[in-house]
Amino acid sequence: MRKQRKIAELALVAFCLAVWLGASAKPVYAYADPGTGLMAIQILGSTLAGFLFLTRKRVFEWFARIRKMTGKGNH
Amino acid sequence: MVCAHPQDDWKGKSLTGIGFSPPGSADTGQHVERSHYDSVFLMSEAIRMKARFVLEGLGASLLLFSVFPVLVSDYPVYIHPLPVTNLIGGLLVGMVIVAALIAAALYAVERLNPTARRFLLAWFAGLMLWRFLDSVVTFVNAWASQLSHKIYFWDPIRNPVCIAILAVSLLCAWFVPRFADRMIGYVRLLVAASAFAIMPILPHLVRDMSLRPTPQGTIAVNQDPSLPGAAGNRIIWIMFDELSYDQAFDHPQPGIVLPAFDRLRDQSFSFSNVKPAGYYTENIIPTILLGQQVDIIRRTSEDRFSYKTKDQKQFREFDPRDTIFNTARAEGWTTGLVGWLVPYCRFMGPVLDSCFWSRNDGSLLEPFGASEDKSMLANAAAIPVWTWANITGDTREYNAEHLANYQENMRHARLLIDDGRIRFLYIHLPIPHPPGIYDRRTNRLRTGGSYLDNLMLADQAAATLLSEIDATPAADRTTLIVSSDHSFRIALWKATAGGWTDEDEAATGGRFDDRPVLMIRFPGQTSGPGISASFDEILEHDILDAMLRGQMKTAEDFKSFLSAKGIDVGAAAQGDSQHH
Repeated sequence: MRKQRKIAELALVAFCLAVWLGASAKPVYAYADPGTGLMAIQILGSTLAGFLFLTRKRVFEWFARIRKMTGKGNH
Repeated sequence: MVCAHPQDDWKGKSLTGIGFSPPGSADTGQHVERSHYDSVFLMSEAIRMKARFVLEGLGASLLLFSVFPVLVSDYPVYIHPLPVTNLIGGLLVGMVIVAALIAAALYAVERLNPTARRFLLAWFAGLMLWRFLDSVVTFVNAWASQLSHKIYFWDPIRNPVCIAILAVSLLCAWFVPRFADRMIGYVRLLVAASAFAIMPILPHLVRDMSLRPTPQGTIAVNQDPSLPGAAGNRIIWIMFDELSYDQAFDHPQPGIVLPAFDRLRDQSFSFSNVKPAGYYTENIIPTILLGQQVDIIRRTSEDRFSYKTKDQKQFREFDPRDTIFNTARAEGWTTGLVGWLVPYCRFMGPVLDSCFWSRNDGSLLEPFGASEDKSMLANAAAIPVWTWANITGDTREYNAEHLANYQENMRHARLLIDDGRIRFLYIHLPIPHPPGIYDRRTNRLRTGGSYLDNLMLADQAAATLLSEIDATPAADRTTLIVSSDHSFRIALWKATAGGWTDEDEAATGGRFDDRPVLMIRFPGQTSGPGISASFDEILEHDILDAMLRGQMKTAEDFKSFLSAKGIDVGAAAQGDSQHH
């Protein structure tokens, strides 16, 4: 069992190294093209929307706290 | 604990609804006894945990795959024959496999002992943070380089930043574990949020995959033997892709001798201050052909693309009848084209009598074993091959393709120059555009070299084509235009592995000079002024239009045209004196 665990850990580390090697290598001749900028805005916008979605409860809490602090919650 | 252990997660107060415990929340979360929850809750928590891993896997996969241009640009499909279903499908399959592997790895990491888990997650967070940074900077660079041409700081520090972020992540995990846990939580949240980028990417890819060839979409090469015989004037327009005025004429590097270009400049109207119509060939060429400032292009079918200009809100279908080639045909000229990169023959067939076109295209992984004839799964297998080529920095496939395209274009250019029946001929050559394909020291073609090597090759190509033109019966009736679409784009090539050499750095000093080349020689012209006044490249359309309509046949006509366009004649005279 312990040996299997060790092997699994080593496999994980090897996987991590492979991902790092692949991720850090710069793609040859894959330059950014016209139109990339427009798509990039959409991608960044989607990521931001995703971030807000994932943290929506925290965001609602902040808003609730702000509302409370400004006294709007009393009305 | 920020990245809560799955076995403990049910205890935490889920603030996000899908199993994320934002930093700081879990430590203060109320410990609720398991018995207070029924089995339905436990099941929903398990689903949320899985959703978390799926989101993180997908987000990480997207961050890793963001280097594939087809995910973010229409360009790879614009130049590629249709269909591309299995080629793009291969990338999608690869993306899903990588996402599944990363999700599984994260799941496995959660089951390690706390120390090992923290270190591996710190490593993952560091790498993903760097990928996020790299993706954002690359996108910003692609966007902003068209505006300022000055954002190229990233390339030299790209890998050091990666190592630094990884080192800081691991050091934090060692020395300040609580802080590391918080940071890991934030970054994992960012990675999961990146998964939402699939929302614009997936429809974009599905649309590309659904494009189908049309019956008219075959490459147009009209070898019509009934073309009219050679008579009347000829116009030959030679476009050298990426030829920089600065490198060719203003600041030629020591040892760089360009006799053909120099001779031509002395014999022609030569513009030393051309304002480029764009940053990318695929925008500039349609701009000149249409006489409208094209900003964005989008492939719509095998033989169609649409474009947006600065003033348009909607995409507009490209119609070859709007181009100068249609004007030429309407005015009785026969038309020939030898092109590179821009899929001329596909989109311009109806207005061309003869057409040849070549392209460099590695972005859909065909040089690495992918093919539209293979299954999506088989095409996904090309991704590791491509990755290995990136790791080893192997550019041979790209250089060889560029070299073959140059040779083919030169062969077809000579054929059409010799074919006197083609009266309006446009030749677009893929040099001095990188990658290098020439060794100026040994005077031999090869797979490798710098921009300066390609510049010398461009001059040789010019010499070859000019002597070919001079040998034709119509030589004394031929108007010659030699131009470039844009200059040597420092920012773009600096940010492209394999596209930048130490020699390029020394030659340019990292300074971008955006001036392309434009030289016009009318029949019989043996000298001409250098024109230093600012000149918009888009006006090349108007020049060609006037020539084709028979309104501009001589140097005098051209001077009148310049005056009408407000090009300062004084500046022309001044340029002339500088010239000689």
